Amino acid sequence: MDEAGRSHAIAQAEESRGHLHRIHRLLADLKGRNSPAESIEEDLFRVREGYHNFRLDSFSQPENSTNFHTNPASHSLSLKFFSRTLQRTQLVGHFIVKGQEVPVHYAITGAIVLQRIDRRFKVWGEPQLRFNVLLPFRFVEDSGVLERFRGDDKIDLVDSAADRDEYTQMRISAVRKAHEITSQLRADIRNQWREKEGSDLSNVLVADGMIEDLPNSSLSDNLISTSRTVYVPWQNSELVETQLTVPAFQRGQVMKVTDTTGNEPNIKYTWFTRMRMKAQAGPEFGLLRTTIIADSDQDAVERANAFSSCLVQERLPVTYPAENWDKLIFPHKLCNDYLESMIPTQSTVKSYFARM
Amino acid sequence: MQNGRPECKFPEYVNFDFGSIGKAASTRANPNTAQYFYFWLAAGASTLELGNIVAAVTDDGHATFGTVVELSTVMDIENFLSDYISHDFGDPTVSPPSDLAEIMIAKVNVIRATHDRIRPIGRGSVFFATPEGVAWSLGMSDYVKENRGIPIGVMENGDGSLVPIFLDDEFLIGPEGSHMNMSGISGLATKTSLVEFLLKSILEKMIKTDKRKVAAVFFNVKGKDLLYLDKPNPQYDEHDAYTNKCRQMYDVLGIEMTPFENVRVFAPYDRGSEGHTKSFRRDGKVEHFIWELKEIVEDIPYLFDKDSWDESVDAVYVDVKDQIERQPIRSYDQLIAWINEERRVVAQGHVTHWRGHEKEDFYKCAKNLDALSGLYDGLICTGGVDQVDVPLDDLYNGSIFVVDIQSLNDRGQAMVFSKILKRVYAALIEDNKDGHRDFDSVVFFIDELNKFAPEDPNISAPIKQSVVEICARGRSIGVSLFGVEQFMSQIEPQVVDNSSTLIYGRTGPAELMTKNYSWLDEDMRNRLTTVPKGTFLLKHAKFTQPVFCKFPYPTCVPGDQYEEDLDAIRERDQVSAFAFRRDLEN
Repeated sequence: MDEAGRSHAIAQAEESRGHLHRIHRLLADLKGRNSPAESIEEDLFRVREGYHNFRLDSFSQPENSTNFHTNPASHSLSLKFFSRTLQRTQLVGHFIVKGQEVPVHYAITGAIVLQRIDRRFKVWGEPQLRFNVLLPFRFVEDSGVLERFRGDDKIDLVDSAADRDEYTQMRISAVRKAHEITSQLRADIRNQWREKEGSDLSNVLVADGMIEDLPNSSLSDNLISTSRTVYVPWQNSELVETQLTVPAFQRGQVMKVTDTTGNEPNIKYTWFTRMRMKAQAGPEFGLLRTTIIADSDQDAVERANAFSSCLVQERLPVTYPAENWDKLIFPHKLCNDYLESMIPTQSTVKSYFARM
Repeated sequence: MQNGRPECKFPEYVNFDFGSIGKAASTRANPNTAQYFYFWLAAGASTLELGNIVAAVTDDGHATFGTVVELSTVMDIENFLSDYISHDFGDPTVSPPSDLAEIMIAKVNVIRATHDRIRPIGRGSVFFATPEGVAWSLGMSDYVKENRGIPIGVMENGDGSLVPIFLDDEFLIGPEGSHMNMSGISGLATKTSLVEFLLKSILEKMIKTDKRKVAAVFFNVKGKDLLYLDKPNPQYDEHDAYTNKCRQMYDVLGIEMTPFENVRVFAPYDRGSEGHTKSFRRDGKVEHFIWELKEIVEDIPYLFDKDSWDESVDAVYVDVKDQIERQPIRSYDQLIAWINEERRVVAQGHVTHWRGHEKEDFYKCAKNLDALSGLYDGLICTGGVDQVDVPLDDLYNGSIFVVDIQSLNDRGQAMVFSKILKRVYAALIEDNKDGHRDFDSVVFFIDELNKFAPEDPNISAPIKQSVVEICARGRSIGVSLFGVEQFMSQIEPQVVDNSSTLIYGRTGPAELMTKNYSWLDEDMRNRLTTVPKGTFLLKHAKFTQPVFCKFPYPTCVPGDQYEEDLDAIRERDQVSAFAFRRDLEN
């Protein structure tokens, strides 16, 4: 990022502090009150990502004989780009309508791509950040309040549109809405990347998060995704059980992922790689799942070997003591650090609304 | 903000062209205060180093200037264990695909801000200060504009600019402040060279501006250090990079690269060889001085140590002095003749006392007086040699007297130093309505000041009180003392405290642990252990923060590097010896 872009990013981060005051004023206009929650909503309410729509099919034997640390597969791939998203939804206040407590959330969503050049990183393009106030509009009696707030283009007012008039559902709905915004940001930045960099298939983007739900036409061979959650509710998630015994620096079976809901099967391939030795640790320790698209089963297996080799190398430098450090590759930690540095901390937001 | 360049109300003070070198930030662990702020260095800001002067431009368009006093690096490593694991469990040759983020953080002591409020800054883009910005922040602009600036060196900022550093003459040679003290390891701190450069600077500036009439008296206490101020420095025949930089410094500072003029050198008389003096300079340019008894009668007790000159001897000497005045005794030879006569009388068996004193005490005093001419050979007239004084009346604006006292022991050096200092002091106090005196101020320079004004009260230093008084009152009279020593901690604190300019050259770590350096930030202190020759840390009364400066080679040859023409000396010796014999025969 050039100097102007860097300054813009910093200015954006500084601007976010002003948001808190505007939300406080909005709450006052709604005759509401500040009531910040202790934890972020994502920790309380897990958004169903849609894995239940996919089926796994095992077609290859695990690559038990190859230790990718000592015998890396030969390939010409370079993990050059890394992307990650950020989503943090905080309950900051409430207002009451006809005896109903209505929650108001402050959600920060972001996405970033880092580019590695000579072992060092710089931001590719511009990091995407959205600052959102989420509340169900239908509970707002004076629409003028929302109109006045909309005058600020630096913070988005979003209808969290709960299905039911239940307090908890409204909170879950806010998290879902934030997830939608995050997904959109991720799609936007991924599309931008594909447009500019996607043609060079040797330079790979390692995206953090789910791509199973995306049509294959929106992906390319040089885009892979990683996931640190071992158990997700596949239709036949029992297949995952066998992956827990994958030895260190080796990969498990390559499995086909088939979308069972759409018209197109959009077949992808996924497998687990054990990034670290699991002595003195649980069976999930160091298991990182990778998903790609491939032209054929054979192609998928070859590329699984190549990417496993690359990812095993990425275990260093370690990211300890970050959460899930055993599965977290360093560039993804940096992505998160970058995004976090541009937004107010959770405790800043909480303490702001607690003292006002 | 335009293209990363913030709006600034004082753009001439900030080097925007070089680009931003970092961003000020205030963290929970390292909050900014009104005295200092922190900033992280931009990627590629590789030229910043300790001592640089930077400007943080804040959103309100104001700039806060400061000196970088601490640099630290932070890597994205939680602890050593994680880094050990990152290297494949302890293999230092492992090179992970990603390099860990590494940043450098600078701590900046605030010098001055363009706004009037005393408050810490938060966010701010950091740039190098321009020479104008450095001058303004240090407060030099005002007195330089009023022709009061004395160049002392240049500050090399991280953007490559050479910033001329000026002292305020009113705080260097009075009347607002005075005196300079410099410390540093012998041979590495280039103390003498700096004083030579500073003297050149003072004299040239004063003569050019015709503001003050300044003369100088330098005491050469060791070797040939100051004996060739009038000889050009052959270093300037060279064209290596540093010498060229020195030329550039003279240019930036506006000083001509010529050796001193109007230099006279004086040394005690050498009775062993007519025409010569007790000086290492042998080219016939050294004038001798030697004093008659009356000149030193009051100083004689201070020329002996306490074992030789105890209280009982002192009591005897009161009566001796009384006789010197009464008779009167005019010369040292007469004194010794009289003492011998007294010895003869006292030696008679029935005499038990000399003028009420024990005979032994009288003998002890007589023995000391006997030994005086041997101990201080060349300083006291004996054998018919007439008194020749240092002609202090000949001092005039721009003139330099070098008094070469390296041949004397510490007590002899102290006596000469003190005597000349007091005389000049007296001359400056005198009314000058008739204009007979052609100087308003005199700069005294003496090396090894610790011998004359030691901090330790147990060390005998007969002239310590005089030095302290000169330092306390000299500024208003026009006496400025430039003292130099290896260890500032060994100097009487009042001397240091009264010096409005302090200079630190390379200094040993043990010395840096003393209280004289406790006000410095740790990194700045540590840097003093390694500063190269020609670099020094300057603390001036007008500056709120010290500044690292460089100075060029002096225009005169360093005394220890000058080799005289031995054939010419030999020839001159022969002529001189012939003339001496001819005079004797006549």
